[in-house]
Amino acid sequence: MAAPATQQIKIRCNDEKEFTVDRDVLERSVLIKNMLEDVTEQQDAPIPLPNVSGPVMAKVLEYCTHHRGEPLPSADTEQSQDETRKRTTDISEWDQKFITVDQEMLFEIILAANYLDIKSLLDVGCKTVANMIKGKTPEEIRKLFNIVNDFTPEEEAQIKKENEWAEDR
Amino acid sequence: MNQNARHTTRKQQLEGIVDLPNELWLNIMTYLYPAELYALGCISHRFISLLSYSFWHSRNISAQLFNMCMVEEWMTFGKSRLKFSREELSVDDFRSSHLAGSMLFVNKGMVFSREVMKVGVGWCVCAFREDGSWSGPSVVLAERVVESSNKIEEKKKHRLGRKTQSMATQTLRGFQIDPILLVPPFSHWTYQLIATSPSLTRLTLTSIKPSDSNLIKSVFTWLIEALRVHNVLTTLVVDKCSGLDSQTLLDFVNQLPNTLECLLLTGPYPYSESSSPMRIALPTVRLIQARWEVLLALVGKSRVLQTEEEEDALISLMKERFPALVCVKIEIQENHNLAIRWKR
Repeated sequence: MAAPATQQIKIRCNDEKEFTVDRDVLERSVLIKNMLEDVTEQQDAPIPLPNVSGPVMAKVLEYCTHHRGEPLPSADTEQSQDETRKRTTDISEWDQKFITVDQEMLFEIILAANYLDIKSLLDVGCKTVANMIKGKTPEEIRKLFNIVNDFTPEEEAQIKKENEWAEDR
Repeated sequence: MNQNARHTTRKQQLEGIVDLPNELWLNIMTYLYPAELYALGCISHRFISLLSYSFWHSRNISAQLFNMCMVEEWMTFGKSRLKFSREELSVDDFRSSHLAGSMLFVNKGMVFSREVMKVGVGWCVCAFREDGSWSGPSVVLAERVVESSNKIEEKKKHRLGRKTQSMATQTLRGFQIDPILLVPPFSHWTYQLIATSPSLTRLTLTSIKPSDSNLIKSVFTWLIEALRVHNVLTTLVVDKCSGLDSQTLLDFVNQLPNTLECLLLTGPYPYSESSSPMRIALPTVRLIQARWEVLLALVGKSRVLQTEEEEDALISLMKERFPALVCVKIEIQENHNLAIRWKR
């Protein structure tokens, strides 16, 4: 007997780009999952996602498709992981390849993961930023993220003095 | 304005990683080690504020901030870099933070001193004054081992640690240690904090000097009242309180909630290295004898413990007084403190 056809769901991004995606893929997003559960009747109108653009959604869907079928973390396990989690920034090989994008896209993916409530993708994004920071001096971090130094010369001198031990290591 | 234009506008406002909202930066920061957090704190005022906030609201991050304090320079970090101020942190903020489970109570506005640092690495220390102002919080920098013979070695170790100590091995230390606060008496703020903190399970009395003995009696009156509001105190620590006479302490302990599980008598009391936890060599210092007398007086006796049997007798009588206790263990802690611990 043929397996039952997977339900297809339409979504529309903020640039009008539309995607038709298997329901189980989309349900990696807790936001969309909750929306779908709230709708009792089947609707043909696409789900609007006003905070995500087409190119970013394409990347997000690539991630969700790869990880489809994996168990979603429950609220309880999430909390206990937050309390006890080892502070590892390890990222699986596939995820690492997936997240090798320019900073602008990384930024958009993190925002989208946060908005769509895809915790595992958010973690991959945050770990990637953390890895970018590791081993860098404050000046290098500023340069990397284009951050304006808003310290006064006096504050700067104080910071430098305090930071001597760390730079020396 | 069409959708594309709206998207462009948003992109112009938010151009890069640095523009991620604070909540997401806090998430990123949980993956960073002390030196990396420190580097962030050197970038801009925004990151200093983020670190300041996270110190109070993220157990992971504050543990890392605690770990930073393995070197003395970090004292400055707490004081000047994080810019904690009364305006930034209300009683409500504190109560909702993960630090609210524990408090150190000291007589009169506490100042940072080497003595205080003995309490343990990673403890959160705030100095509150009677007028309601405060300094800190800072964190205890390094273990000041009380035994003088170890002192120099420890100092050497910490100095070496500045350059060689692996950050990775320090990572979890902060999780093991209870944070504490130093709060002066006679402060409405303090009363409010205790009375409105349903999770305040640990209280430490420290540095009560003989000249303060009369004052402390009046403090105990409202302290008991405040503790009774939620009735959840499980641990009382008495640390270097030479001004706390036996009878006063007895009266205080007698009025504590019967949820008490652990009484810690801390201080540089000598003990025999070879003692097993249940065979503590009787302390010869008068101070510790006074403490034992207090415990005995609590259960209607008035002499110092001499034998293991007497310890057992004391234990069972203490269990009567505090029905929440299931069994009792007397132990010597790593930091040379004596602990009498009841385990459920």
